[in-house]
This record gives sequence, C-alpha cells and structure tokens, in this order.
Amino acid sequence: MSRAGTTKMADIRAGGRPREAMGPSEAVTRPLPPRPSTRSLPARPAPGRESAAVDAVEASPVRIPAGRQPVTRKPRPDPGPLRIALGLTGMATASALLSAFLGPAAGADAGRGAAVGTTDAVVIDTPVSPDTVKHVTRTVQLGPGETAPPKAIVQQAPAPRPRVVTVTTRQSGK
Amino acid sequence: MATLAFELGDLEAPWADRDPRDLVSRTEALMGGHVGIHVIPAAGWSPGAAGTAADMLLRRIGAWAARLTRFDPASELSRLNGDSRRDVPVGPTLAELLDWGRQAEGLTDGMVDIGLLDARLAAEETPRGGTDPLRPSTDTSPASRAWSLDRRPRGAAVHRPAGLRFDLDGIGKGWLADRALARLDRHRAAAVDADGDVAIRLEAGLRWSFGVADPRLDGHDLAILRLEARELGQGRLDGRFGLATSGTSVHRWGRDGIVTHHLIDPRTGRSARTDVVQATVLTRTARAAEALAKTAVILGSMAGHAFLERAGVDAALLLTDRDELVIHSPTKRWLG
Repeated sequence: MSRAGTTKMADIRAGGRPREAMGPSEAVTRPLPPRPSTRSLPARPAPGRESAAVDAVEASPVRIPAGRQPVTRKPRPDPGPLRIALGLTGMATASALLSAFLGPAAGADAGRGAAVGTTDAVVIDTPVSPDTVKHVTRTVQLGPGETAPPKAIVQQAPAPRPRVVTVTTRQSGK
Repeated sequence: MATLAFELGDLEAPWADRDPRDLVSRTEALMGGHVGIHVIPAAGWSPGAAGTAADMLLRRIGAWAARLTRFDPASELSRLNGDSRRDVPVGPTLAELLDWGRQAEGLTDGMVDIGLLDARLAAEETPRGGTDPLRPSTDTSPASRAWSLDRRPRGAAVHRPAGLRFDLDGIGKGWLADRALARLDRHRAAAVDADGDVAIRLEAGLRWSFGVADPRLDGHDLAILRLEARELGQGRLDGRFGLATSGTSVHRWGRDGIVTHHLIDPRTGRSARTDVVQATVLTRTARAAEALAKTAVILGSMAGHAFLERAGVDAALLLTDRDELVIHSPTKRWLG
C-alpha cells in the first residue's frame, strides 16, 4: 500500500479537501498523523510468519491449531426452563437446611423444659457454702497500752480456709 | 430487691477468687522450694507456646539461682564467701544482687543486712553450753555492713573486711522474681512465684486473685487479695505489683525450750524476738515486698506496722502469736 493512497483516504474521511485541490508541495511537507483505526488494529503477521509456523509444526510434536475454519453454530436449547428448575431446587435445599437447624432447638426446649431459662435459677438455688461467702473484716477496738499499733485494724485471725487460687504468697520453703 | 442483691453478691465471691480462665502455669522445684511461672497469654499466643516460653524461663531462673545459692560449694556466691582476698571480682548477676542488698539495707533502716551469714548459721545450730541464742551477741558489730561494691562494665569488685560472708537468702527470691517478670512483658498478665515471693504485672482492666498462705494449716489461705491496676491519676494505670511473705514458723529450730529462727535482728546478731509469726506485704516490686515483710517480722507488730505505714506499702497483713491479724488500712481495698 502506497503512502499516497493512505493520505488520500484520510483526507476524505476527515472531510478535508480532496487531493486534487492540494498542491504537490503540501502533500510532501505535511505528513498526516496516523489514522486512529490503523493504531488500534493488531499487527498483522509478517509475510514469512505463516511458513515459519508450518516449519515449527513439522519440527515439533506439539500440536498447534490449524488455521481457522468456518464454524457452524449448533442451535442452543432455550435456558429458561432449566433456570427455573435450578431456582426451585435451591429454594427447596435452603428450606430443608433451615428446618434442620431450627428443628432440634425447638425440640430440646419442648423435651427438657426451660433449660436455657433455668440457668439463673440454678445459680440462685445452689446452696452457698461458708467458704464462698464474701469475707467481712471485723474491726476490734483496743484500749490504750494494748499491743495493737495505732491506726491498725486488729481482728481475730479468721479460720483457715481451703485454697482456691493457684498463686499464693507464703514463707519460703513451705 | 435488696435480698436478691445480697445473694448475688455472695455468689460473686467464688467466681472472683478463681484463677483467670486462660491461665497457663508451669511449676518446678527450685531454690529449696517451688518456683512458678503463670501467664495470661497475649493475643496470638497459644497455650502451648506460652507454656514453652514459661519452661524456658524456669530454666533461666534455675541458672541464675545456681550462681547465687550458698548451698552449692561451686556457686559464685560460695566462691566469693570462700575467697580469702579482700577484693574479689564477681559476675554481673551476683553484682546486681549485691547492689540490691545494699539498697535494701537503706530501704529497711538497716534491718535487712546481707552480711550476717555467720549469725544465721549460729542460729541454725542447736544451743550448746547454756548459751542463750536469743541473748544479744557480744560480737555484734557494724562490720557486716563494711563492704562496698565497685561496679564495672561486666560485674563488679567486692571490697569487704576479712572473713565477711554474704547470705542472700533474705533478698534473692524477690529479686529473681522481678528479674524473670521483666521477660514476660509481652503477655496480658504474668506472675512469677519465686517460692512465695511473687512479682506480678497486670494489663489494665484485668483482675487476678492471689492467696496469702495461712501458716497454721497447710493448703489454706489467710486471705485473698484481688489485684487490679492502680490508678495513678490523669488516666494513668500501674499494673506492677510485688507480693511477699516472711515469717518465723517455717525455718525454725529449737532445743530445751529455746527456739531460734532464720530472721536475724542486726541489732542483736540473734534471731529476732518478735510477736509476728508471719508478715505479708504488697508493694510495687517483689524484691521490696520481700525486704519490707522481713523487716516487719523483725520489728514486731507495733513497730513493724508503723514502719510499713511510713514505707507506704499497698497492703500488709501481720499474723501475731496471739492469733490476731493486724491489717494495714489500705489493705481493705484488695481484700476479697
């Protein structure tokens, strides 16, 4: 394709003056910008490329698709009925799963009474042992001259109680 | 409504006294007793990983203690005590502990004195020849304090009078607990229990209950202290604690009606004459709590209580030989 031919087509598409109206000098000194359609088109294969591909097919066992052949499209079935069937199946599955999840909880409540609701009642009904009662510090007032230091709170040492915590301060070697 | 609140209040107590749910604990026989590492792991730490870290720290504590014990002739302390020179170089761990011993002396008005090993050993011996081990020793002198430490980049040089030997039993455990706790600062909370002297660190908002052992009955507690971070004002919180107990009812020897114990009064060079069977102190570090508790026992309930008040401790409980419990007023805040 000659350069002059390209210029001519561009001029016509851009609505410019026909080539015949231009002077010969304009056509040489003002090259037109490349056509947008030309820039966006994929590069054509080089002339020798097809033969190179053929050579590669012959040299290698790898299969390379042959050149394009006309494809005849098979008529596709109407997807409408199948989509409706799939939708209905999904709804049925979701419903079954929901029933499976909710069913046992309701059944447990019915069979065991108010299991969840009785949690508070169990705590309140549990008898409180003496060890679990909150400790009260009993302050003893001592008269002057007695052994208690000033500002100190003195009480009869409480009865020992079983240990309920892991970390305990104690005399060494105990 | 009031009755209901009362019942719920009672029911809260056992829950609050229980250990945190995600507590990871490791315990090992060390230092003539038991050492425990207790951790509430930080996010991202599995209980197994926290336990492995605690096991490693226990081994580290064992290595530190091996240098500081007087019961192993090969320990660094034993070598120092057995060295006839007046100036002896020591390694960094022993140097740091000796340095703390010097500070503890100042903190306790001289009641903690690490230069009294010979007096302690004399108290352990059974009385002979009619000597009253509680009578003031004639050779009591300030020589036990006439030592100094010359700190160097690695360790120190100890200068001391000839024959002066050190006893670190009274200050070492709390110090080791603090040192070990510093290696657990990545966790939400941790407690290092060095045979009864406990270093504790709590994240803001956490509560953790600690028992105070009752010396009258094994496996029982005299009180439970529920700890949470203190408010320092301006929104600042401090979750560091030291909890330690000292007393005369465990290391105790007697013959012919004369009883001695391991807490030496530096004013007499003998076992302290005291009405305090056991003292427990809560303050900011385990090493300070240990030294202050020891001082309270040596001073007795009256002077000891006054001393602890001056020291500004967070809590103190003194059990007397009259079966009384003397409670330092601020203690009520922490009592369960």
